[in-house]
Amino acid sequence: MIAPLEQMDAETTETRRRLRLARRLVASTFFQHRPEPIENAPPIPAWRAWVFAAWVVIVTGVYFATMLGLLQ
Amino acid sequence: MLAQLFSFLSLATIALASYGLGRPIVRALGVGQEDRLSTAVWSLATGLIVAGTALAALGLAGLLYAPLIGVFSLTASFWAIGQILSEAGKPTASAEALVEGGSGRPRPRPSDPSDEFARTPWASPPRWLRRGVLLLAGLACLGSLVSAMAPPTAGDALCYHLELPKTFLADHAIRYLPYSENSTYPLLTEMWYLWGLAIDGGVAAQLVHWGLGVLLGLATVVLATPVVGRPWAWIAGALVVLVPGVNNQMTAPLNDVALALLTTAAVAAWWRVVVAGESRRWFVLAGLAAGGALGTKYLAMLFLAALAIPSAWAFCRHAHRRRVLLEGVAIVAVVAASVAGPWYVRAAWHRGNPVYPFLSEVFGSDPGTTEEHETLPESKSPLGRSLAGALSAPWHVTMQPERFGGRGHQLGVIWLAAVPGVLFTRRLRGLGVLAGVGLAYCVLWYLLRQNVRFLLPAVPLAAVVAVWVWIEMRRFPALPRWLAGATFAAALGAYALIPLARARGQLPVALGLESRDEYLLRHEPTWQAAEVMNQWFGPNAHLLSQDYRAFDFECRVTRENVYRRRTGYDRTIADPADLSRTLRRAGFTHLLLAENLTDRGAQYDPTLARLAEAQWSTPAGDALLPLVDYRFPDPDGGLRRYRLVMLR
Repeated sequence: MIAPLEQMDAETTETRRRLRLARRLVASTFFQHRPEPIENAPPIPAWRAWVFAAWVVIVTGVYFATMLGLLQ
Repeated sequence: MLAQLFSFLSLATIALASYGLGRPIVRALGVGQEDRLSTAVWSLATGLIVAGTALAALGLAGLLYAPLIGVFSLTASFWAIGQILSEAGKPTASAEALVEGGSGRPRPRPSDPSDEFARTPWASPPRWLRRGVLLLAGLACLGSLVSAMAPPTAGDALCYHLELPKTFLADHAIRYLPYSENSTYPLLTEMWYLWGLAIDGGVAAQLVHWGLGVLLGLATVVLATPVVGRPWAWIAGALVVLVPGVNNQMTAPLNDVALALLTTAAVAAWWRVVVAGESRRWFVLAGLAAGGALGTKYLAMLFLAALAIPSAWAFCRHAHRRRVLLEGVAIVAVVAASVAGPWYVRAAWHRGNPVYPFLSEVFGSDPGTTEEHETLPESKSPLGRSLAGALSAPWHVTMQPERFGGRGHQLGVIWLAAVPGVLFTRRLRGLGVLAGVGLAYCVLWYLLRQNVRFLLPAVPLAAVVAVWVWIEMRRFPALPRWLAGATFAAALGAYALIPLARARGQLPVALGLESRDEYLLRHEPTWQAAEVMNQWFGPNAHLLSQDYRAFDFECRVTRENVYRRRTGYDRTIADPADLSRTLRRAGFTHLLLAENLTDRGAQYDPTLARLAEAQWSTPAGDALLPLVDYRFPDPDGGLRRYRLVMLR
């Protein structure tokens, strides 16, 4: 006899899929990321990448805010 | 519209003639011919230096005649066309190198010679990225082209970058002008403007500087190619023309972009021997470019000093390269001195100081002037000269460019945002040398003259560093990579749109919908006075002007503040009624009185206006006949009043 499979409603499946995606996104953001190697060079650690990205965004934001007169 | 076409044709003639002059030299040297881009850049740069030097020689010999220059230009242009046609079917040097010696059997080779440079350990940029950045650069160049097609109105251009060549052309000679402090500067770029003036006029001269900006972008591609590969080098070149200060300068006939072009060419040629170990003949090109840079602006000395620092480092570290480096120094020094030397000898001859008016503490002040010129005034160093100031300079220069010469000359945010990324990148052969030269130059800039436009020679070097950081960013996790990439893209997009938005005011005159005279009437404060002088009195008058804008006057113009400093004429006038008599005796026929009625914008020394008012209040007042009296609103909110006065 084949055991009956528990039926899952579509809404639960979608919620779980989204949670799984969110967990992966958070994990890939804060933990060591291992993408496909480019030119056999090791990937740059995520924290360094985030520090640089934050620097770029902040500096550029401050710059344009200053140029537009939003900051003195 | 015909006028615009003729100006374009003049630019094309100058470019073709320069190519025609430079190509044989580059071919004879046997370097700089890897592909068509490299050949074109080196030929144009070399040809421009040769042509400028030839025009200077003609000027010193008293042979500056427009017809002669026209014949010379056409001959060199047709010579260039002949060379281009004869080379059209021939393979480039790099393609020839791919053919096996003797057998003539071609090896498998890339479809395009420039693909050879694409052989880097890292992947080329995606096609959409390369095309996107080049599109932005193209839009920025288009915007600056529209602005450059309007008649010149930039202050420094009308004061001397165009005024001096106009005067030399009118005199058919490069004469010593005692009342023009700028007339004994190195004037190679002004010789190129003289070329444009001889063929067409101010617009052609202005287009020359626009063309130099495009050539600077291409020279950056040539500089970056052996370091990061040709596909990424295109992005470095695009980055340079997207810099607001570079793009803005391309709209006016000044000389900072010209200087950046020549220093970039010098360091590119020097790098090929010292780092890549290629033929020593590159030193000749480096010397020509260094001489061109020294012949353009004194500031080139700082750049060459910065170039010497990594050279000295290489000399100490690599014993086997010492002989090459010493040979290089000797070749570059001899060639550069041959190109630039006459300008410095001329300054020493007339002023007693080869770098007049600087270093008067060493060479003594000009005997003709009553004022000391301070070489390192505090006012030119807004950040002082401390370690803290040096460390904070990148931030202040980016965020407050108005403290360092104005927002129009600013370098933008890309450098401050991208260059610190070298802290996480791998080391790349040859990049450290370029970064070292750039850093040394910035330190010298900080110590001597903190004006943001003087940093343009460091921009191509920084562009190569920034591109390497972007290449390394592909080792980032996806999210920070896209975040940083999107931020850079937004900044570059803004930099491409600014020149387009700025060009709206010039679009009608650029398209020929508005006449150049109408445009000047609205944009150039001295135009009305110049029109009256030109139509009524022609080239034989002699104007003493409180305003330094002199280019639009056909007659000789002397700046009142310089004349006063050198002669002290104001102190010799005991009776107010003597002003007109004193100035007439000195050879002047007219006065241009200028004053700013507000406290905003340029202010004028009131001495001459006060003396004129004093004479008007005496019975001899009718010896000063007012011809024109008008007001001109400045874009910055100032209101100027001009009075053209005839001395009777």
